[in-house]
Amino acid sequence: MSILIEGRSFEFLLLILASAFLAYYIYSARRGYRPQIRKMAPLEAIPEAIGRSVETGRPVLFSVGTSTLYSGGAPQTLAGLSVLGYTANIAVELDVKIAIPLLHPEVIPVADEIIRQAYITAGKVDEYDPVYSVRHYGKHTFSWTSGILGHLQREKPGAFIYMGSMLADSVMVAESGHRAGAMMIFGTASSGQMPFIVAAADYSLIGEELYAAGAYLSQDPVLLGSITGQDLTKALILALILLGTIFMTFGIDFLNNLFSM
Amino acid sequence: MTYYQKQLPLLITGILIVTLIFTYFVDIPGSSLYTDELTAWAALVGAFAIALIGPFNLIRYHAGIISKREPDKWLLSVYTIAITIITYAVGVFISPIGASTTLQDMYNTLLVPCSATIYSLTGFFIASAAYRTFQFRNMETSIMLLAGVLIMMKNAAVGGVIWPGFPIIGDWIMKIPNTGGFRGIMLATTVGLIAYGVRLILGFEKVHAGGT
Repeated sequence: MSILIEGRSFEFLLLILASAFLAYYIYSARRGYRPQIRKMAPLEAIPEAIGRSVETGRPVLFSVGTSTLYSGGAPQTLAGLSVLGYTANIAVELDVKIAIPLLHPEVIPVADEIIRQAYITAGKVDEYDPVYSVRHYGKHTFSWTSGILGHLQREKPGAFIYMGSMLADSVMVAESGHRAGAMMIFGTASSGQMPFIVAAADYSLIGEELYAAGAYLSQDPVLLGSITGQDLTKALILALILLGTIFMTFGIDFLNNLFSM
Repeated sequence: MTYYQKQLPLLITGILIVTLIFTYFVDIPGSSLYTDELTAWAALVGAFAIALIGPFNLIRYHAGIISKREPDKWLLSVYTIAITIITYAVGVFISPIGASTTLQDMYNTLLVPCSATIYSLTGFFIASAAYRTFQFRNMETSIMLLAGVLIMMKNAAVGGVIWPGFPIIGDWIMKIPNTGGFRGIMLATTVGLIAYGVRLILGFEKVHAGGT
């Protein structure tokens, strides 16, 4: 009798294989392997967007999205917070004010700590104004959205960076940001909102790119190694899809049975 | 931050993720009690944040605006703080007593219509985004424009009357290229999520523990 729950054995096997690939490339990176990954234009554009804010004397607006730190969208929020760290470091270095409107109050201490760290790193901790930078616009999606719409029209940020889980707010804030004249860099893994951000933002990160953003920005070989491992897992899945298509075309149920184990 | 302040949250995160994955795959009697307990703890932390951190942050920001008498803003801030305090007071002092539905009534009669109003703006924002995006600027935007027009003609009742081929082409776009492309994105997203999870377990992603 299997100790694994019926129907989840193949999922478990795939998870072990994916983890093994990742562990191998992380180990290789620690031993000197330097993985090369493609340039990600939206992340490369962040310094340019902040530079534009400097030139125009306008602040930066950053959002980590609509998810909590404990729900299904939590990884997107965490990925957004990684990008916030990078953005805050540049903004503080260049003396640009950065504001982060938050929907879920439990994210407030984490965002506050990240921005405070950026000020500490730049040796400007006395200039940190948490009341300006970390704002709670309500715990309801549309009260928060209307808060951002008002923020965009009142403060006219030079750059609007939105990385995280999105709901119906995505197209509203993107259009409002465009009218405010902000350069917009958006990223999400929320499947329903990807078409909107591709259409409305200046630069967009979709799907897995958001999860890779922190690793890409850090340029840490170990983290980049894990992205190489991730690519190998994708190659494995593509091979399985191809094999499955061929097998099913010839009426062989082997892979189908394997997947449903 | 001391070594333990940095490492302990990462260790706790790693252990919790591994045990939760374990209970998903392995049939252990009573494991649902463990996952239920963890979920309850997450909700408890969230509830504390909603009750304390959120209102504190909101009142602090608006109190600053009121104290500076910022033009066009401070009266709205007074309104915001008043509504927050009233809602808080109703929730704490009135609604828990007996079968009072005051808080629910406030939610239904104030927040729901306001939210519906904001949500209803989406249509206008989508129209504005479509106007900006669907232009013959380059190959990508031209393909988007063409696909958008074909899907619109598929969905609009008049499309099939103008030319019966519109619904057929629209259906084909939705079923074949759209589904194929979307599944590819979702597969890659899932693999990216697994990789992110492994980095969290191993402590390489530490933003939640105050790292960057």
